[in-house]
Amino acid sequence: MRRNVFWGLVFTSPAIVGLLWFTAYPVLASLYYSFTSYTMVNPPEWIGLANYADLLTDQVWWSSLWNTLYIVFWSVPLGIVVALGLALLLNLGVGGRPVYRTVFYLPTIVPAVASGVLWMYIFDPQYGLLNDALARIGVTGPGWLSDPGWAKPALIVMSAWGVGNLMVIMLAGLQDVPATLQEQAASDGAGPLSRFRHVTLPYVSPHMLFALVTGLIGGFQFFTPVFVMTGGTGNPAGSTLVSGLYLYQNAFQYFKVGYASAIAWVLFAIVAALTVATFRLVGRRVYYGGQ
Amino acid sequence: MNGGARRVVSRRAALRGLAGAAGLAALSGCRVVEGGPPPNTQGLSKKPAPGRRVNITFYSLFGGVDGQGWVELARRFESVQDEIGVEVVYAPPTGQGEQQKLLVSIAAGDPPDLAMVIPFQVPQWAELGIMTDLTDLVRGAGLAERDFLPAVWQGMRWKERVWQLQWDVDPNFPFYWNKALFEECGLDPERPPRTVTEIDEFSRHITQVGRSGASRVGLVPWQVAGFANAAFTWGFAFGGSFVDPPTGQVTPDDERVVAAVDWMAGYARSLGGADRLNVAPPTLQMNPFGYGHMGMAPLGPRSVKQILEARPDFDYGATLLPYEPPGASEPGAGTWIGGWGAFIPSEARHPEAAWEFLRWFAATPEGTLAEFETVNYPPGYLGSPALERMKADRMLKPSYDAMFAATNIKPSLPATNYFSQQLEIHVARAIYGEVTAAEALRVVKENTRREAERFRNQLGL
Repeated sequence: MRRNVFWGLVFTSPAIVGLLWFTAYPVLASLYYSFTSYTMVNPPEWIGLANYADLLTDQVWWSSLWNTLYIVFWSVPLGIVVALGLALLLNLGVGGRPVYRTVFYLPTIVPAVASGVLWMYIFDPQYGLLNDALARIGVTGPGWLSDPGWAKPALIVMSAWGVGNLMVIMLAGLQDVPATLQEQAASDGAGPLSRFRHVTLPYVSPHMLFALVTGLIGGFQFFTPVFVMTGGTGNPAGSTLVSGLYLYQNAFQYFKVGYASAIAWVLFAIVAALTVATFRLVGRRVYYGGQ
Repeated sequence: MNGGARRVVSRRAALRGLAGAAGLAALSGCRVVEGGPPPNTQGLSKKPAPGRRVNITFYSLFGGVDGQGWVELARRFESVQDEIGVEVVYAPPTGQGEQQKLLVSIAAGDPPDLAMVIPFQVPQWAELGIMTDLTDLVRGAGLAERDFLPAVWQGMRWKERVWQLQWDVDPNFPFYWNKALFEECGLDPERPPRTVTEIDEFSRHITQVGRSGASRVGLVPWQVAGFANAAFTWGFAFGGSFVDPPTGQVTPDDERVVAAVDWMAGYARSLGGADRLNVAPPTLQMNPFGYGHMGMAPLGPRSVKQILEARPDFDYGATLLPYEPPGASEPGAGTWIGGWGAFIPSEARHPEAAWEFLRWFAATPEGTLAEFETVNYPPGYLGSPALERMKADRMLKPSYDAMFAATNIKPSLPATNYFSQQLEIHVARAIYGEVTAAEALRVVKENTRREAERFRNQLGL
């Protein structure tokens, strides 16, 4: 037994060492740096909670946090609704389902940078597909990414494009719903909406909770699309300057690595608190089957 | 309608149709970008020539033909001497020119022997102690102020010491106008505006604003490589100053800078808003000026080159950037010098050999000419034969004229990166009508001064 443990550790040691060196060490180092004044190229100097105190009065930080929350608040539910909607359509047993599944999943495998450039074309005020479609129904589209008032909604719309992963998970959940239960409900007189609410939804609720929690975590790490689309500026007028981008600017433009680390840890605390709150508030309403 | 022929569509068929339509809609998004080659990093790096006494490492941050030009330039250096080999490592920048690979290598104590720097970053990097002081090497090589364009010499120094050699001069900006569009709008195609007031006057003839925004404009003042650069360009053109030399404090709320930003905001209002601009399709290939719906534009030579590659018959004129009295007194007063320099990191292993390569391509006649022939960027060294070539080239002549007219550089301060980012945000807010120009620039000043103070305290300056 002891021999097995030894060889088990030997064979898993590359992963363990990698995890400790490339994940645990940077995480702990960033916690330490968050209490220091650190330029990246000079030795860090301990300053206690000063970085955290500075965050309280940093208007750009609050503005970036607001931008992040705004995007998370709208994009996460939208992503869940779109993914569930597509999964429901695919679950109807229509012909050519693998083709549709591939089509809907395809955007997920487009690299984030390519997808960012693609959406710049879609959102172009005059020549973009979106405003062209709106114009055909008599609606004058907004400036999207070139309008401070519409830049965040544009990013939210864009986020719904990459719901392929979530759709597959929802589809798996829908396929777990027992057909007999649906039939019984139907024979008891339940209509489609009622069956969806009282039979389907409880069965996919664990998947929705998963989508909500991972969506929250991913939303607070929102970075690549806005970095690509604005060249790292958060334009127009700072309306897309999300917290992840502000963190990056502090670390690599202003040489404030300690401050950037403090931002990272505050974001982590917010995400952790929201995740716990989500589990407390929503977790008890989730149906895990057999209960 | 014939009731007998009526076809009942089943719910399943309807849903199938809906799913198909949604699928096609999703696929249509994949057709927007035509196919193209994947990013190619081949030919952007190279190993040193074999058998050299010393090999240096050089971080090149350029992709495409520029990066291949650097590899060719390093080979040319190896061919004119047999002591030093050059390893070129492609280290692309991100976003606003951040050099993550370089900074991480410096932090790890393993920097290259030679790397790139944007001149306005010099004060910050020098104060951080990551640059080698080149003053004695420059003096020892017999180089002095007289050998460089005035603005270039200014950007190479910080606190009376030389920290980098500027091998690329980017004059911001020569001013171009579309002759065909001028003629179409009843303007004299041979007569460009000399002042900002004339820009406004000419714009009234050119601009067309419709229901979906401006479809033809005289000029887009804020489309000058970002809002911060627009503020610098027009701020200088109005005679404004961004820094108080005796104190070294930023002064973005200088009344003439405020007037310049206010002018841009007013121009945006005249178009129905900065976001209501529809004069060119989205493109990464060609400057919007090239589409023919814009009468005038401050442009760099690379943008002009791109336009002429796509539209060889594009009929344009070029002159110096218009100015605005009473702050400025002649065309070109607003031109400022940007570009790239190269420096030796303070922990470089082979600083002497790195200096030989640096001096060759940035401050010798043959080296700067080789750089111009391979990388193809204008040199800042006045003894370079490349300058005569620029003067004789129709496409490069406007840049040549702008280079020699330029007296300004971006403010060189330890907090210039932060200053630029603040301008990027708040000047945009003024142009989008969220705040007045004066309010925006006051916030920039307060925030930047606070950040500069913090930086000084952090380094104990």
